[in-house]
Amino acid sequence: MNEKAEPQPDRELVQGVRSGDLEAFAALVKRYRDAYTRFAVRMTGSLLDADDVMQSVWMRAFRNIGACKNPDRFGAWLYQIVVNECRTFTSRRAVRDNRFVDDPAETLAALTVAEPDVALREEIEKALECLPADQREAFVLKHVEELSYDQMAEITGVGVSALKMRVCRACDRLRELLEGVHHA
Amino acid sequence: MRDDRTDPRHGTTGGGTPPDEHVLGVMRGSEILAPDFESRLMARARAAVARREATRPGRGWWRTGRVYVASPLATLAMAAGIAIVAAMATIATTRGSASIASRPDTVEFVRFVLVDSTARTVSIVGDFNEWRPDRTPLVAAPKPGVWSVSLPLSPGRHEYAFIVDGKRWVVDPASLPSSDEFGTESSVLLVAPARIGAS
Repeated sequence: MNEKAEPQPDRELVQGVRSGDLEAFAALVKRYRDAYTRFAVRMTGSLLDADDVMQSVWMRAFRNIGACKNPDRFGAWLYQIVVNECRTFTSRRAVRDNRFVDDPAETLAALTVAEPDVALREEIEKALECLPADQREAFVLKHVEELSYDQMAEITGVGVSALKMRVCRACDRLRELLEGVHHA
Repeated sequence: MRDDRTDPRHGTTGGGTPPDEHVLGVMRGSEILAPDFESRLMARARAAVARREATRPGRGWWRTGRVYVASPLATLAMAAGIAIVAAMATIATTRGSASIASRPDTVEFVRFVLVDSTARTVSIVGDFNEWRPDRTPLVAAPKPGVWSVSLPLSPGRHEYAFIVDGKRWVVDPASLPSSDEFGTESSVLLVAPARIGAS
């Protein structure tokens, strides 16, 4: 009989990290390495920035592992950190880029470049960047990560009604920004 | 799990309709972090642990606020010792590699020196050795209290510190200071790309 070793539960790994076991931390990193990368990329607009954000996420998790009240749900706790780090990143970038705001219409018009898939992807990223951060966050969690509103409320700390409103507005704005461009 | 898309306020035909499936498909494409993501992260985690261990109360005698009494003569000797450390470290970090030629895209040899007459062992930790105290011991010179090691470093910014007797965290007084998220100081060394024939 070919028995596979049961993966160590998150709870045990979290306990290991709390007692200073770096191998346990490495195991958690391996387990959740790319689980939230897509969300971070959609929120930051680039894989490079997402890499920085995810490094910060993991170091925060490592430093504050004692604050993980329910180690069985480490993944949900980590997701909250990811959301918070992405918020911090986008707000810092907003301050930094305050003086260099692009005209979204001009930016999208300038993206009629070579390969259709690459162009479409860039158009989508630019369109997402045009959304206010709270709407972008709600939209990505709902329609990209496909979470329920209850899950989103738990992760973001925002009420379901407010989240629905944000998603609704984000969808309207995205449809407006992307109208026609992806069928070109 | 509840399907919120059936919510009458946010149906698929009215306001709030998401972009079409083709666009969503692109958005839902997977994203993979760089292959070295884990190794970089674990190096940072190890550094955090090393720093935390080195500065933990009870281990770092230099942070526990004890008062040491020394005679004026001993104080003068200590001051001279510190000056030697500063001078030698400056020489080491700024001129240690000067006599070695290397290509601009390769490494530069840097000589690290610490003077500590009480040390029994000295090692160096930094981003170049994943902050592992067991990786890079310094060698005692014939002159008592002088410890040194030469390391190949790539051009760029490096953070490091010395570990004396396996537990004492010592920053290089001649280098730029830097502190991490725990407030622990380390030293910063900037290595410029070398040119062939540099002297």
